[in-house]
Amino acid sequence: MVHGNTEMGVVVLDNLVEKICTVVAEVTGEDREALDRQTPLIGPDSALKSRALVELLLAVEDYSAEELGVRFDSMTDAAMSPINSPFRSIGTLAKHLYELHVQAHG
Amino acid sequence: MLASGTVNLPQSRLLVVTGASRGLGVALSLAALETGYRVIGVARSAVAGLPYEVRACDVSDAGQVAKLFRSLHHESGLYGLINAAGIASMNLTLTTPPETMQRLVATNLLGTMYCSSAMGRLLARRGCGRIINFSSIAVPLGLKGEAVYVGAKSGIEGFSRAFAREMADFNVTVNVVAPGPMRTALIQGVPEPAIETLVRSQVVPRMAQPEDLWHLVAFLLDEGSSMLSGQVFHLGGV
Repeated sequence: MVHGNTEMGVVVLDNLVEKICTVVAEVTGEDREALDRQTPLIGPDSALKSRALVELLLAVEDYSAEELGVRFDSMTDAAMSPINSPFRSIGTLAKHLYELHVQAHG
Repeated sequence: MLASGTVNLPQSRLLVVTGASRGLGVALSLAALETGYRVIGVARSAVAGLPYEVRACDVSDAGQVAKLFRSLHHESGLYGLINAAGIASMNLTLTTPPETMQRLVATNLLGTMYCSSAMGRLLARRGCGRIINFSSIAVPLGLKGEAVYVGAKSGIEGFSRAFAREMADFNVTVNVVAPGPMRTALIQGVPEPAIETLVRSQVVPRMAQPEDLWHLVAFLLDEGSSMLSGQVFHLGGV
């Protein structure tokens, strides 16, 4: 059960979105203020080209392990699926990380 | 004496060497140590008695490889991977059992891919590094009786060329060393006249020694070789 609507859940999700926006701004050089939950991370509308995408993947893996205490595995076919990849947008990635965190720690 | 005067001394740099319990993997690991690199060897089972740590890992098992490289995540100075693990089976394709084909591809090709990918993820985080994979003179010569082995080694060459482009973004070079016949277990059972014919066909018609191989590997590991990537180097020349 994911408590994304609780007050604490909202705060954690907001923090995750903020963190991902910061990383995306760093690896793409995009203006941080131009990024939000709807910003696509993969697909034709994404600003992340191959190098930036790999840097984001690795940063998310490290952040997940070190800050959230969960293992985020980007080496799956689903990870880059345009239909159900957590990388569809900043918002879906934040939600996916939050769900992993809740599954691991309740 | 294997390592005399080959590269800038790299004491703080750590190399991971697969196939490090025998043959060329041992020779390269010892030469690397002598040069000043730190070495973590990888072999199917842990080995004692060598002057470097050998961690157990079957490179054809993706799960074991992932676990091994995760354990290296926080090692300082991680710099290079030498994918020396390999097996051979001299046999006509028509008489090679499917299980042997699978083993040849799994260890030689998939093992190289798994280790390159796992190490590549670590090196990309560091923004520099070297990956050296192994092919064989059997590829350009299309040696009769080695078609399956040649298929796996050709795969390594193609993989490495493309992977080199992917890793160039992270200042990691990927190259392939392809020796001619060398005195290792891999060519046990190959008739001596066949070996002599192969050696005579090389541009430099003598059998390469481990120090010849190390000189090439050391050159590719050197900082100054950062513009060399995606290449196949035939030791002895074809």
